[in-house]
Amino acid sequence: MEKNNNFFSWADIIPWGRTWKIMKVLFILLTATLVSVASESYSQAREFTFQLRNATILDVFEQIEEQSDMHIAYDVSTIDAKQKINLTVEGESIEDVLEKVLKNTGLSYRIMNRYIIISKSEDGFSVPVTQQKLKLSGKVTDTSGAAIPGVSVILKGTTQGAITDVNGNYSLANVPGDATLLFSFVGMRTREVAVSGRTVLNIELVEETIGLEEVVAIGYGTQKKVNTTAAVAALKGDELTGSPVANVNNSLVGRLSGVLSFQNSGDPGNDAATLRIRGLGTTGNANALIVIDGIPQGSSSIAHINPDEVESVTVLKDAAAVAPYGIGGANGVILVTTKRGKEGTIQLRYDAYYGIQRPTVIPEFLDAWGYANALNIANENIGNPRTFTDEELQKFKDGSDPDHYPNTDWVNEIINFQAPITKHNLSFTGGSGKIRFFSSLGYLYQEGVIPEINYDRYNLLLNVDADVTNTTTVSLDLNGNRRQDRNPAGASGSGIFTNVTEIPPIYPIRFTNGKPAHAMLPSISESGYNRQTDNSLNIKLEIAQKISFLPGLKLKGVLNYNTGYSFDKVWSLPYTFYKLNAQDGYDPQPAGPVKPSLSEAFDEGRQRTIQGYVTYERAFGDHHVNLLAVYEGKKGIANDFDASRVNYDLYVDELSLGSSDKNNFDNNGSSSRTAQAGWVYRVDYSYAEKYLVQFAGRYDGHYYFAPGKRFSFFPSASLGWRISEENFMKNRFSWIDNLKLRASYGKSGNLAGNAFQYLTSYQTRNSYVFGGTSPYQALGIYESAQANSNITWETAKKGNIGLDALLFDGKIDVSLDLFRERRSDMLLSPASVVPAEYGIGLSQVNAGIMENKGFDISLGTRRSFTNGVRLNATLNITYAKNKLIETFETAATYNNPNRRQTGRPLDTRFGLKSLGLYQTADFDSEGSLTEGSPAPSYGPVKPGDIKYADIAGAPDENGKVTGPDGKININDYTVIGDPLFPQLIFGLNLNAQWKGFDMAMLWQGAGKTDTYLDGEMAVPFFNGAKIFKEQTDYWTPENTEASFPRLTPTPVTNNTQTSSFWVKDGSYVRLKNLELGYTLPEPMMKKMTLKSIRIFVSGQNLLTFSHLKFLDPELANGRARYYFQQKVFACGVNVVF
Amino acid sequence: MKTYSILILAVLIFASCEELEITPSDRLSDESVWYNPETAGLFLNDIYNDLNAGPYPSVYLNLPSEISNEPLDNFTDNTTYGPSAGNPSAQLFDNNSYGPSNPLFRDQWRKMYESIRKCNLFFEKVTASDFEETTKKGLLAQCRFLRAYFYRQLVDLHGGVPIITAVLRNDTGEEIFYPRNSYDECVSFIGDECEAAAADLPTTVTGADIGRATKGAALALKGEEELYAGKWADAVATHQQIIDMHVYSLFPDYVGLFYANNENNQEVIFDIQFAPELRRKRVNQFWGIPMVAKGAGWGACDPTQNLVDCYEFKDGKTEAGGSSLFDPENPYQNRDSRFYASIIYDGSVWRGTAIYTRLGIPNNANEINVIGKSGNAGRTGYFVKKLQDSTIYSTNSTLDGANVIILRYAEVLLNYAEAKNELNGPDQSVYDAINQIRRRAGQPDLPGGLNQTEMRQRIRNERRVELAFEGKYFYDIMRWRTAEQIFSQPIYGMKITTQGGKLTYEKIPVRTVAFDPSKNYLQPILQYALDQNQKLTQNPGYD
Repeated sequence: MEKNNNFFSWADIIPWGRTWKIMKVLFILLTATLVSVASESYSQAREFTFQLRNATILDVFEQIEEQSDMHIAYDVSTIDAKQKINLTVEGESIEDVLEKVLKNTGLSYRIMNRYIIISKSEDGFSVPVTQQKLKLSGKVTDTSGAAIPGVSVILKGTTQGAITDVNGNYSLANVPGDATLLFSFVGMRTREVAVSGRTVLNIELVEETIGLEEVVAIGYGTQKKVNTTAAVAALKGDELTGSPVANVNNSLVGRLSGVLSFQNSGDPGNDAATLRIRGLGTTGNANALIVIDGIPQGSSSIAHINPDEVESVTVLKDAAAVAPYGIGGANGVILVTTKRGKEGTIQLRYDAYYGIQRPTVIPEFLDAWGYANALNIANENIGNPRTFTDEELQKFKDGSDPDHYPNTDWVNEIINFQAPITKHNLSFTGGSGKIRFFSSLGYLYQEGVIPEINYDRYNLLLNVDADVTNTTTVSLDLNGNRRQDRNPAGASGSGIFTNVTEIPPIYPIRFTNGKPAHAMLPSISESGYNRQTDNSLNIKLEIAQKISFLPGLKLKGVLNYNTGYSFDKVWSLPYTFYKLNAQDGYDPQPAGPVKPSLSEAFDEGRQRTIQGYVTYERAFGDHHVNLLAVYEGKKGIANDFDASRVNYDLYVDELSLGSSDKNNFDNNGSSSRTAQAGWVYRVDYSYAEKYLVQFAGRYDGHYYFAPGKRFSFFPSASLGWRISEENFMKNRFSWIDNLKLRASYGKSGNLAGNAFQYLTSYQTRNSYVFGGTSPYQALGIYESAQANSNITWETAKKGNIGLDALLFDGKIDVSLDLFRERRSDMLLSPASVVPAEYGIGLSQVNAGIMENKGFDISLGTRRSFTNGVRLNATLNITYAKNKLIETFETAATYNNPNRRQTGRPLDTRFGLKSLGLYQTADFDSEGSLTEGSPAPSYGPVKPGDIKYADIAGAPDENGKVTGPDGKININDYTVIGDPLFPQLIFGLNLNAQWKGFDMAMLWQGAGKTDTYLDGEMAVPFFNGAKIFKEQTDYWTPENTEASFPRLTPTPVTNNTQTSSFWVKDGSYVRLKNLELGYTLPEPMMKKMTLKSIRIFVSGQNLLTFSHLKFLDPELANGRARYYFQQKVFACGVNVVF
Repeated sequence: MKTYSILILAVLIFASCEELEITPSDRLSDESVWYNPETAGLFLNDIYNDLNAGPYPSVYLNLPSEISNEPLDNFTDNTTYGPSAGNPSAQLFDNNSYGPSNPLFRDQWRKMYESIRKCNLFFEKVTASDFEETTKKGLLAQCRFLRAYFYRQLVDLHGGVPIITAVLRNDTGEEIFYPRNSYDECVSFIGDECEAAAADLPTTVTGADIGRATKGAALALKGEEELYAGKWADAVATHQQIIDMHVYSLFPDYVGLFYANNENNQEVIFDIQFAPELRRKRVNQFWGIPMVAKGAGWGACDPTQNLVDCYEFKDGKTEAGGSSLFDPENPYQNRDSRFYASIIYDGSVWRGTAIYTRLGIPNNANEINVIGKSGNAGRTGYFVKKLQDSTIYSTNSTLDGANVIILRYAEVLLNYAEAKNELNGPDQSVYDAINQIRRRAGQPDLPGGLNQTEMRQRIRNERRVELAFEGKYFYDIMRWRTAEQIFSQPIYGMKITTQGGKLTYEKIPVRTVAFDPSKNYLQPILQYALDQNQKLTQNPGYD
């Protein structure tokens, strides 16, 4: 359709007599007092000018609504949307326009204030329906005819309404005959229906999530999903709130195609999973850009959002989607949109859950007797005397002398297996007339494995939108949070796990008189505290203006101000544990500082983002154009200072009450500034919604780099072809709702490295002490790295081919994407191209090239049955494999094809190839390796030690690797495993609803990942550590097929070499989330004067299937020296008042 | 309204453009660093700060720092590592499983060349500056001394290393890959640098300059290197020069010599500076006795019976030398006073507590360890006392701030005596030098009429006792080539049991070391260094 307009119409520019109520609106915005705005007298003297060809009546209605702020209500069943009309309107009144349009349609109209009601002529308007108050009832069903309970039915413009019961029925009294009803339900498209005097109104709602009308957020705007040519994946916020986890990161895991994840910590406040969009594409910073409500924010900001505030999360994956983010886009973009108020509802809602957490897996350690016995065996194995006598063993066993022969279960003594986690959220939302708002207040408390470790978070959100004029919308958003992470000063979560998985059971934790026998207990309870408090407040003011002299043209300005500060306070106290002395008395053992010390650090940061938008969207017949231009400027300032005093005489944690000796003072501080500027454009053109073309990009500049190297251009182009719109498809395959092929190619950037690497950098530090017995610490200057004046950003060239299909009335939804990316100019430390004698680190250089390719698939299906059962399932699979094309590598590895990193995935594991364990037959009678066996160079070996393959020899004089040389050493290194970060992730989301019951289940898994066992998780007694159940499967002459080498009291150097023996397949499948809910029946609600109550139980990480039986598969460092992942059992409630 | 909002938007969209020029606030420019002698001096301060690995030398860094918890004496028969965790290097040493990829001294190579680069840069910038000539000389002399010191840390371990005196630049096309210089070239270079430094360094430093290099320090550094290289005549001359300065003399108290309150006394020629709270070390914690009221340590450095046997009795003879004062039932009586100053033994008092290493005392982590037991217990029946301040609890590392003496006058005397004896045999000056040291310890003078070999043995024993735990003995057994003989013998601890109310003493082997004389007298060149510089060659036997 083509719209032709007069470019000038004085009526558009001159305000037409209405009072400018800006003061009132501002007052409302600032106080956030929501009142319904009294309806105004609306001038019908408005003149319309437009020209439509081959249009439908609905197009005319749309045009009228766009050119005025009138609303047209109609029953869609009465309108013939197929009938095409041509219409030219020039400076005509609304009545004239309607008259023209409705001629010969059998429809009539009526104007009431700003509402135009269209109805069949026979319904007539002979009776002034406004005066009539009707009793209205009806039934709400879905497309299959199944009743939908819980649909909210609201009288538009009021707060009056009802909710459908279990059978989908509703009834309303005192409905004005000319009212409009709003039917809304989660997952369904909201419908507006004019009552038009009827008393029975049965309504069918259409599912919206994957429907043809679904709109998704894209960079700097939104788009109908069927029309996107880019690779994007989206989900609704309410999918996130079912998981009893502290942050959005962890609830996103497994739910979106294209997102790979790894959660390597369970530490409250620091347990957010690492998210990688389409895997790892770079050796540098690989964090995705986080954009919250259109404003790019810090990468950790997503972890601090309250999941209850989230309306939707969209992941931008290919060049077409990320190019508008310039240097921020190459690692993918995660768009978070928070909830906003909707007109016609006022809702107060309370959501809460309470759960308990425990480690997902923990090794089962031998008790004191088992440990002592194993240590005896280990010593006997190497010809040493036994460590413990039989008498001592007996004492460990019977516990008769617990002070000297204790049996300490460190894990259960320290770790709380019922650590609470709880969340409460209160949201209040509504909209009426010209003001809409959404507000929410959230509280989260997550306790760690000991109560002294805990985290809490308060979130506050207030989003207000006001239609200041009929073409101007002003929005003011406030989004803040406060977080506090508490730890003991003398212990940390990872330290606790390190200790409980290491300290042997033969050491007492406390003596029989209750005194602590190990530093661990008092280090938790008496060492003072370490509190980190973070505050963040984001304020956004947005003004959007439609320009009426050029329909389709809009301007928008956004001013975003983000401010935050953090305050860390560490109060360290001396503490004491005890050791038995020769007389069995208790010798105190002081630990921690000698006297109390206090340190405080204060960081403050502010960031201002300014965005100016110009958008123009018009259709000219079948030609549809959508243009976008945005300027975005960012500026930031950060300041920090810290101060501390040591040697407190008083046990009072105030800085001013510390030692007055200046030698006990210390302070520090620094500041920094940042700036970025970018110009974004996007040109969308489509013909008949069939052929889609898009050009998008950004010209971006950043302060990191040298003058003249600060700006770069990141363009992209993409094409789409909706085959389903072609007639040959339309006619033949009516079951295909949508079938679209798309392709994109473009350039994006990634900011890696640090600021000012182009400058030679001398820095200062506290340095040497001069002065002998009157010492003073001199200031020192050092050169931190050699500058690289040419440094610039990484460039990603991304290609993507995709297919989207919607089949069988939306019952099946498929999206497939194949991608390939080449990242160049990756920042690499060129250390290996200079000798080790070079003496200083070089600034990174833009030299690395990496390729990353893979696919992501999302497959969804939904069914509704007439008995009320509704099912839906989505499966997503993401695979991404990278390859280093160019990297800095020493000749020693590059020249050895087994050890070459170039051409292999980043973080590929290299090491010796294990051939299993040496057997007795490998040795001669003197205990030497038999003739011809390759000689390992890591000390002597015996049967039961790890046997390695002799793969290659030392390089010859040309640097070429020679064949096996009979020696096992570094030349024999080869590829022994995949990188730790998984290359394959899948998620299977199953949902079912029946009557009031609902169930959601998320299975999530990862593949193509290898973990590595190290330290005490590999060999028992490593550094004096203990031994766990699986490790008792060690080699003996009888147990030759053991999974661990022979038992020795200290590790055999040969066995702790990096080798494939300790590489374990890290793939896993997990029941990531399970939620069962029940919505109480409505009669009960009525009694309680509530709208709805849902109760639920849910769990996180409930089941894990992996190759590692004794540790979580997402094992970060191969050892137990990290905060274990948690499993959660929770129950909760959702109440709508 | 509409007009206003359009105006506001237009301003937003078109008028603003961020200024991307930001001056960094966290770094200094070339000009401001080399602005005047004072600012350049700040750079020099930081080179001094490289004199050890920093406030927390970690065992995992494997630094051969004299103050590391992995003391170099653990690579000798003087001490052995404790059974407690965290002595990977000592275990590598004992098993002889160290090599280019798993060396004893991992980061040493890189760190020393980092410090050398700083010196080279300082040299280049100050030389090119327009500072006053005498100021320049003083600064450069300190820099030369420090550079020589860093080179010695490499040369003494690895033999010849690349001598680099220019700032390497990879962007100018100049050669940055240097081959190894010969050992002799390195020794000469160090000697020449020290001599040049000595010419411009002050004889003494006072006040705020205490801790800076002096003429004596440069000469002593040179003399020690000449001794290590077996350049006897040069060594004699250099040490004679130091003696003739008449600046240094022995501090009367061998115990207090190392304590913080006696820092920079007349015996000290050069020491690495520490100060409580400001720049601290953790010797007390790492070497500390495992069990004592208030503050147990890790016992990471346990003296052996072999060392104990080197301490003479009051009659000037050792047990092996047939001392009549040796009583097998009271072996610790009537010893050289340095024994009591250096070693905690069964029945001795430490921090007001009697310490027992004998078997049979309940709850006693100090008792000699039965092999295989874990925990911070001793392995030999002895613990280190020397260098540790009994008033500082081992956990309280912030207060462990006594300077670490690197070069002291007693060593000058020992070095002189050794070089002189090797050069000319035991003349009176040799006797005088050694007897000075013995008199301070309360030991009788050496008997007259010793031949060169006998004198050599006496000097070596005197040196071992006097300098025990100071990190010198490792270099001694390497240059004397005695390591192969030493490590072919068992290393003993003292097992003490109570039988019939009487203590019995039994020397038991506690440690064996696999030493390969065909290669182990030199440390391997690090694999990463070889990988990055194809011009480097490996030391024999480490291929």
